[in-house]
Amino acid sequence: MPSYPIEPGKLLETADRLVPAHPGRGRPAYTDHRRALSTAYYAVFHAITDRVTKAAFTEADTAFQRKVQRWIKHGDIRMVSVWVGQMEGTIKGGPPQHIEALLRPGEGVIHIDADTLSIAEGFLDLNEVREQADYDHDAVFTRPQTLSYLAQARSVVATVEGTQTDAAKRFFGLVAMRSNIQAR
Amino acid sequence: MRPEGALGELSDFAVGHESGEIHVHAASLALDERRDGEPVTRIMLLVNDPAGDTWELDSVLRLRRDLARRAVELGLPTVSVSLVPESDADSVEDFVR
Repeated sequence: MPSYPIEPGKLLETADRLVPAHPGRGRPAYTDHRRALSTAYYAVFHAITDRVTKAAFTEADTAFQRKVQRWIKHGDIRMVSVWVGQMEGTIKGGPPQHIEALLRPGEGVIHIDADTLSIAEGFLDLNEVREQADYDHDAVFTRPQTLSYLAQARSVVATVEGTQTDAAKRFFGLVAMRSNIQAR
Repeated sequence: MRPEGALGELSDFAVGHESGEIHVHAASLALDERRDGEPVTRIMLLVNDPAGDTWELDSVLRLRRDLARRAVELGLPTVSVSLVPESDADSVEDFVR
């Protein structure tokens, strides 16, 4: 049976094709920009769910991992990313006390590093812009801004796929703990 | 501080701000809600055109982070930042210079 898995790299290639380097003359393809941003967000989303699943089920076969990967919701990643942003002072409020104690267990110690911050910020930025791209009729996506988000998505996917830092692994683990077993 | 005052202070902070190659010429700010009802501070910035196809990513991320931190200090909700290059300014109205 053929298998056509969702691959973040392929999604990024699709997003790139929607915003070509040398666009033709005429009005910018704003609808293409919207689709590119949405596609770039899903590249980041699926890259994260892949890492989260593999972090939790290190020895499981691919079929098992793909089924479990579907249980990770956008809101699970968003919540952990918001906690990171709150700890870094870029989002109003703070995480629950027990989460803050986990992420900052002692004076001068914090389990958030550059990779974790890049992943959390990138997820939130692209999650927000995807909402606008798919639902906000008034949102404007110029070509330079769209290309900037695509560059950010590429950077975040590369970080998600390549990072081996302890802090990033804790991030993936917290997302796994936020996720619930679904009905199917 | 009232939200209008905080938005004004954030606008003042934004206009003239520089982050790497990016210079902010004008800003338009508004409080809004995401589809899930979560409040958001929408910030649209009129900036210089990029030297190439887009701006350096580090400059963009630093600018967003600077605005996010200032918004937190002012008690404003999460920021959502859009950059509009000067050459595209005709496609966007209501900037405060």
